[in-house]
Amino acid sequence: MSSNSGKSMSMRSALLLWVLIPLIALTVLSTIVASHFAQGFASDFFDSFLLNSADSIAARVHAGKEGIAVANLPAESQALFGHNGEDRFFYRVVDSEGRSLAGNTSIDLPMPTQAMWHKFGSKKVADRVVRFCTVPTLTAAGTVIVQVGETVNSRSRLLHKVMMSILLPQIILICLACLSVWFGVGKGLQPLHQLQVVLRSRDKPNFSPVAIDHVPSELLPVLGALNDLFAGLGHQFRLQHEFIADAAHQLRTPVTAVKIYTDHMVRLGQNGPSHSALLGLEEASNRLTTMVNKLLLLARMEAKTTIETSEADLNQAVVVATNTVIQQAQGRHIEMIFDLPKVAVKVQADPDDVTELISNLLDNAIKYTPNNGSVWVFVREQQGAIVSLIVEDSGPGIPDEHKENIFKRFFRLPGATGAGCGLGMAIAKEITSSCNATISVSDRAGGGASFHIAFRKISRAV
Amino acid sequence: MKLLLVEDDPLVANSLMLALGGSGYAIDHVSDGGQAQISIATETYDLIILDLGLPDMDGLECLRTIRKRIIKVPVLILTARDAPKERIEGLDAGASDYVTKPFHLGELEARIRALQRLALGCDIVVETGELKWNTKTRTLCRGDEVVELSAKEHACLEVLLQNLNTLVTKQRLSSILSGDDAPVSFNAIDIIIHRLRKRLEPYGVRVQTVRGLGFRVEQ
Repeated sequence: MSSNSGKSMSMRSALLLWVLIPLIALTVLSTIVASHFAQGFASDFFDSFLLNSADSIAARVHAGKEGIAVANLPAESQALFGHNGEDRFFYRVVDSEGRSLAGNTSIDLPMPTQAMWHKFGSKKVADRVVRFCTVPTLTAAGTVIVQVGETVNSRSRLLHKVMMSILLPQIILICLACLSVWFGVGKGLQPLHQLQVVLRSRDKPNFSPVAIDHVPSELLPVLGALNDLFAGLGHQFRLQHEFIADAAHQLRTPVTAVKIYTDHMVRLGQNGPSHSALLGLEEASNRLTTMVNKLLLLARMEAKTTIETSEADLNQAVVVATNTVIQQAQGRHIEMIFDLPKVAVKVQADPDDVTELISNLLDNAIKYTPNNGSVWVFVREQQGAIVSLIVEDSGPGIPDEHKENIFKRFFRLPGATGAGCGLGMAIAKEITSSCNATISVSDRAGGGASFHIAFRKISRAV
Repeated sequence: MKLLLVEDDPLVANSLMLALGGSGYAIDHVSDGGQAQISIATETYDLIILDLGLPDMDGLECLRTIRKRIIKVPVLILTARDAPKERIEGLDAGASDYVTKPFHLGELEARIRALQRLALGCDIVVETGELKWNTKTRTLCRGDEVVELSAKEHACLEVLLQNLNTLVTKQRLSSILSGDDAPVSFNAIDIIIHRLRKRLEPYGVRVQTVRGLGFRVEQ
């Protein structure tokens, strides 16, 4: 991942944000509008009740000989006016001089003035909002004013219900929108994820075009550009490898001639004055030969872009590889100790490549082991269909800071002498990756280096 | 002994003619497939050394044509193509042996000698230490004195000498020595080798043990 990944916002979050902002704005707006209208409806509805109550009370006002009398309002009616106890209901009857004739109110409703006639009003009384109306009625004894009021619990409840019935579906809608954006975008981004998996699984330089299923049209140009880039890189990569392979191949002919002449001259010049010079020439031509051969082998291994699927017998490969180095080991009194399984161990690899790999490891181990030292070779079947090949030596070991470097081309340990060309371990690394195996190096428990190659086993069951 | 060298590169051809000529071989050199066909038709050769990269035809094609005409002559392919697949193709096309460039002159000469022995069908004598082993009569001698061994020791030594300088695994020895009714265990192999080693030591023959893998006799 690039270093700016911490700052970048995921496409999913961005889309979610862009969907959420208008949705929330819409909800707020619709709530304000709905609240305004609902308040109007609830007000009209309950106000008509209040007016009816006022009329009922006005009907109880009688002008008699003793003046104006107001029939008492029974408690049941008051309860009815108070919406069955949910609200408190207040009323009072006053004459035109403002003298109270009847009423149940102890609260401080505003004294009715002519300006309030036939009108509704609200007043906050002792923490309660009270809605009231003032209705004048003409009797034989003059104008009597009836004022009724009620608390607004029922109104609030209705308003609340209306608001909830509008808000709830909207909240559910927002949640659903968020969910569908989250999962929809996730599903839409699946091809990108797939692309990432495909690209990451390429551990060898692989420049074949990327193919993924069900590519959305938006991704097609990206994929096209990526594949064009791959094609270009692949071409360059091939050219480079072809050049190395061709160069090594072309070098073979003159090197062959040098080698033949040198061998011939060493033979002729035995005991002659230039013998030691000829031996030096022979040594140089041998090293040149090795270098050219290894370079060509490395180029061939690097050119392999597909994972090996053939099978190789590891025991057999160890035997063949040992034959190429045994003389060298015996000559320097290095003991080679083997511990192999009794039965054939089949691994997923090209047999010639595995032999080459083991030869390189053994050659390396012997080269860096002092005279009279030891080299060990173990083959162990591990859990999970893995077979380990372990090559250890009693040499000086590899310092930690160079453990990664030894797999690089032409790397040689500082102070290393001898005929190594620095390609053996690079070849070993290429071979392991061509057969889907891994190679690592550590310190051997008693001094020396320990190389560990983990192959994929081919199960014996057919 | 007369050789035909089919090699288009003068550098390699001249060096080989000098070196092989110095070892006493008579060599005719041609530099393309057409000339090679003519030479083969007019002259008899004991061995043909053939380069695969020829200017006028593919070396393998040339080899197939040679094989149509003469079946027996040993043909040693000398080439820069060393991929296993190419080696297999070469041998399948009728080559007797395959040497990749660059090579050690001594190895090339040893292979020429080996092919010659095979072609002549002569007794092949393997020499090790002071002993000589005749592969045809299957006898082991020091000078005129015949060295006697037990049947199992004899069989064991034969395998080791047939694979001189090469590792022979215990498994292989065991499977060669075992009959259907009498299997030979790894322990038994160890005992046979131990006796063989004692028996051959006075003649300067060393049977080397490669621990955990097998045995080897060096020339």
